[in-house]
Amino acid sequence: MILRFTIPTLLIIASCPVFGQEVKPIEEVVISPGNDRENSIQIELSKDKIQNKLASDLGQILSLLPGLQIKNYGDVGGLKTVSFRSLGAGHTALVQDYSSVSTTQSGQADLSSFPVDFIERLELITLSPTRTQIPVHAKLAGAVVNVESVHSYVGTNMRNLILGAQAGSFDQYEGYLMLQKRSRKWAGTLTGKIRSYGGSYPYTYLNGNTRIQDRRKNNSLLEYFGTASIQFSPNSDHRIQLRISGNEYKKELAGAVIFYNSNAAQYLNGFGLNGSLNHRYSKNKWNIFSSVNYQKNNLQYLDSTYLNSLGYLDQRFYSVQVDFQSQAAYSITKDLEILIGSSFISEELKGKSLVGNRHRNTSESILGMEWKALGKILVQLGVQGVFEKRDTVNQSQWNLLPAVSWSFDLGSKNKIGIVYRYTCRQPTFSELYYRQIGNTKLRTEKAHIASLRYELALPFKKGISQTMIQPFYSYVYDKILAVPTKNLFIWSIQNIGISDAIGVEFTQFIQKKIANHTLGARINYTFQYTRDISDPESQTYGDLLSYSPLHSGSLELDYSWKKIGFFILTSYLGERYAMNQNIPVNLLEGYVLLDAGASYTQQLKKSELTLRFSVNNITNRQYSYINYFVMPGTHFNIRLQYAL
Amino acid sequence: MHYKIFPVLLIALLAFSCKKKKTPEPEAPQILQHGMLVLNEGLFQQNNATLGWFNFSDNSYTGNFFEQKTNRSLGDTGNDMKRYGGKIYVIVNVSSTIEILDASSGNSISQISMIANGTPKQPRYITFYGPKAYITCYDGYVDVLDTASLSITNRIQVGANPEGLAVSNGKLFVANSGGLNFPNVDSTLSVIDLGNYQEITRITVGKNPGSVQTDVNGDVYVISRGDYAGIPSRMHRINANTNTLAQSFTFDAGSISRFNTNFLISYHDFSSGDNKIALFDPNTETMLYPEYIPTSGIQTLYGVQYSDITNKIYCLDAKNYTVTGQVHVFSPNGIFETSYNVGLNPCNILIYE
Repeated sequence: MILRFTIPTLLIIASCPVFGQEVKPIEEVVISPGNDRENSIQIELSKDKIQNKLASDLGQILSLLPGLQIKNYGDVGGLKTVSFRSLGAGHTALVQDYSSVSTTQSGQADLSSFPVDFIERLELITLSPTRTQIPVHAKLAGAVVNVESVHSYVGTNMRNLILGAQAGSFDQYEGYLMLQKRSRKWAGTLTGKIRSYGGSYPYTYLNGNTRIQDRRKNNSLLEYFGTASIQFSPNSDHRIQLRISGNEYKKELAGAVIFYNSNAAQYLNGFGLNGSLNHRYSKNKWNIFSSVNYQKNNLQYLDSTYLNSLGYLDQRFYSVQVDFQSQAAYSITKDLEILIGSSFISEELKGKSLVGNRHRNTSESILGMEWKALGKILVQLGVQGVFEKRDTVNQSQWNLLPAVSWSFDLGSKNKIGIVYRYTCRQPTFSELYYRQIGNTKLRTEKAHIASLRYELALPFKKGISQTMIQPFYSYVYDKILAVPTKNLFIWSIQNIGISDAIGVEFTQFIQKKIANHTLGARINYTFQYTRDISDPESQTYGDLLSYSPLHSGSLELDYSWKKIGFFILTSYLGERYAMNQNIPVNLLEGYVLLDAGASYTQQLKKSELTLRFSVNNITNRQYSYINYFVMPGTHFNIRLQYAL
Repeated sequence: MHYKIFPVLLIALLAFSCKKKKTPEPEAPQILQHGMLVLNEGLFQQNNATLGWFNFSDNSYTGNFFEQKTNRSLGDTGNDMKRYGGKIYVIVNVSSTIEILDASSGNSISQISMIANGTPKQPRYITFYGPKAYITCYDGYVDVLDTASLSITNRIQVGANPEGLAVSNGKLFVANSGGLNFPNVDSTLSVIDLGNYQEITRITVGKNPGSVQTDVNGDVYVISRGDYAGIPSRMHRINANTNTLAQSFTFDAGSISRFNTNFLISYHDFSSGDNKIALFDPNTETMLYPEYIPTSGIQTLYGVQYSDITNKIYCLDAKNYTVTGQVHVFSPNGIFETSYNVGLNPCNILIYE
C-alpha cells in the first residue's frame, strides 16, 4: 500500500523558472521551415499570443500546439507534463535559455513550474541538426520544446523596466518585475515573480447517478522565482552570458477526488537552483556555442495522514545535474552547413527512499548537416554513451540515434517534407531505484518516429493564409511501464510495453489587416490513434492507450484595433479512456472549453501601460483531464503591466 | 479559396469521434437468489470499486448492482465483504466506509464513515462474534461495530496496519502487517480478549502478517507474507489456548480459505506469475495435494472461496490488475467447470441459493 501514496510524488520534480516579456497587440503563428533563415523544423508561438492568454504556466500554452499532449492534474500549480505524438513525456526535452531542464528524478518536467511572463520565443522543434544553441542532449530527444526568455540572446525586449500585477479567481495573486540595463557591450537582466493561489474552487462530479457539489480543499500554492543574467560582448563575434536562477515553492496537493473521503493532506515543498555560463562565437562561416550548467533541485513530499508508525510520511529527494557541451557549425558553402558537437552530463539523485547507486554519466556526440540540394536535407547522427553502476556492476551502453529529413518546394507556395528519427530515453532514477518499485534491470525505451509535412502559404491582399498538415507514425518498444508485481499496491517497473500511434496534425492560420484592424484565426487539430500492441493475448491488445484521445484541437480568433485586442479560444479534448481497457466504464467524456480575453495598451511617452483581462471556461464546464482531478469552472484574471 | 474546406474537415472528423455507447446493464434483481455478489476492488484513486451481481440462471452480470440499488458508487478500493445475519458488510478501504446492505435484497441500510478526527481509518477486513463486528483499520486499531445499532462502540489498539483477523476461543487474533513501515514491517499477531477488549499478548509469527483463518479445532493459522523478495510467504499455526506459535510450515502460502474441514491455500508468485492452490488438512497438519486445482487458466490468483451452497470452488482472477477479471469455477474435486467475466480485481464473492 506504500506506493499508492508516493507514486504521484515521483511524477513531480522541482524545476527552475522561465522569464521574459513585452507587449505587442498583434499575434501570429510562425510556421517554419518556410523561412530559409531557419535551419530546423519547428512551430513557434509569438510572445504576444502567449501573454494575452494570462496563462498560469507553460503547460497551458503548449496545449495550443499541434501534436503535443498535455497531461493536466490540476489548475494553478497542478502537475502538467507534455508528450509528443504519444511518445511519453520522457521523450520530449524542455530547453530553457539554451539549457536542457534537468529531469533527473522523474524523467519529465513539471510544466506548472514554468511561468510564461517573460517568454520571448516558444518553439516546438522536431529536428534542428545545425542549430548550435539547442543542447546536444535535447537534439537527440523525440522533440524539443524550446523556451527563450528576456535572458536569452533573442533580445527583442528593449524595455528597462517591466512591472506587473495580476489577480484572479480563487485567491490568485501574482506580481512580477523585470529590470534590464543594456549598453554596447554589456546587458544585465533581473527578473522575479511571486505568486500565491488559494485554489478553493467549487466543482461538481458524478457519483453513480448522483451529482455531488463540493469545493476543492488543500489546493493552495505559494511560489517564488528569480533570475539574474549578465551578458558581455567584447566585440560582435563573441558573447558570454552568466545566468543564475532559483525558485521555491510550497504546494498543497489536493489529488484526485476520493468518494466519501475528502481528507487528503499531502504537501510538496521544494526549491531549485540553476547556474549557467555560456559563450557564443559567430564569425564568417563559424558559429560555435559552448556552455556549462549546474542544476540542483530539492523536493520534499509530506503526507500528514499517512498511517505508518510515525503518523506521517516525509520523503526528501535531492538531485544535481552538471553538464557541459560545445557545438560548432561551419558553412562550407552557401548551401551546405555542418555541425559537430559533444556534451557530457553527470546526474545524481539522493533520498532515503531510494536504493542503489543513483549516479549516471552520459556522453553524447552529434554530427549534423544541412544541405540545400534537391530542396533541403537535414541529417543528424547522434552517439549516446551511458555509464552507470547498477547492482554493484559498472555498465556502459551505446546508442546510435539517427535522424533525417528532406523537404522541398512545390512551386512558390507549397512545401513538402519527410522526417524520420530514432530516439530513446533512459530509465529515470525513480524507475530504477525507488524503494520497492525500482527495477535496476530496466533497458532503454526506444522509439521510431516518421512524419510527412505539407505546407501551403497563400499571401493575399494585406493578409496571409498558412496551412500545415503532418501525418505521422510512431512506434515505441521496450516501453517502461508500472505494473503490479508484488501485490496490487506495490507496483514495479518493467520493460513490457509496445505501442504505436498513427495520426495527423493540422494547423490553419489566417490573418488579414483592414486599415487599423487586424483579424486572425487559427485552427489546430490533432488526430492520433495510439494503440497498445504489447501482448496479442492481452485483453487490451489493439486498444487505445489510457489518456490518449483520438481527437483534440483548438480554434482561436483574434482581433486588434489600435490599442485594443480581443481573443476567443475554443479548445476541445476528445473522449479518452482512464485505463487501457477500452470498455464503456473506463470512457471519459470529451469536453469543449471556451476562453476569451481583451487587452488595452496605452502609450505614455516612453512607457507603456497594458491592461489585460481574461475569462476562462466561460460555459462553466465541469471537467477533468485525468479522472477525478477536477478542474475549475468559470474563472477570471486581470493583469496590469507597466513597461518603461 | 480552397483552404476554407479545412474547418469543414475538422468538424467532420470530430463528428466521427470514438464515442462508444454505454449499453445498459442488466437490471439488478429485487431479491437475491441463484447468483453471486462479486466485490471488485477496483484501483486506487479511480473510485471504481464495484459490487456486481452474477445471475446463474442466464449467466448475465450486472456490474453496477450497487449503483442501481443506491444511485451512488461504492467508492475507492473495496477490500472485504461478508454476510452476517440479515446484513452484508462491505469494507471500502480508501473511501474509508463500511456499506451495510440488506442481505436478501442488496438494498442499502447504512453507510458508516470511518474517518476519525479528519484522518481516514482505512478499514481493511471484517469478522464477527456474537452481536459485534470487528474491523481492522490501517491506523492501528480494530473497531468494534454493534451489528444492531450499526455504530462503532469501541476502538482496540493493536499493531501497525492490521490486516486479517479471526476469532477463536473467545479471543480475537489480528495480523499486524506494518506494511506502511516497509521495509521495517511488523511480524506479530495481536491477541485480544473479547471480554474486555484488552490486548493479551502479541505473538511473533514472521514478517508482514496478512491472512488469518481458524480451523474446526479452534487453531489459528496466519500467513506471513515476507518481503516479496528474499523472505518467503509462509503459513504458521497458533495454539489459541496458549497464545503461542505452535508450528511454521515450509510451503508457499498467500491466503487461507476454508473448504469443509480442510483449507485451500492459495499462492501467487509475483516474480514468476505462477499460481498454486493446495489442499491442506489442518487436523493432521499435512499437505494433502500441493496443487489441488489446476491453475493454467488463471493469470493472477486473487482469492479462493468455497461455497457449501453450490458445493463449488471459486477462484478469483485479477488478470493484470488493470482489466476486468474473472471468476473460475471448479468442482470440489478440482475439475474446471466454467469461467464468469466480472469486474476489476475481484476479491470476494457471496453465493446465493
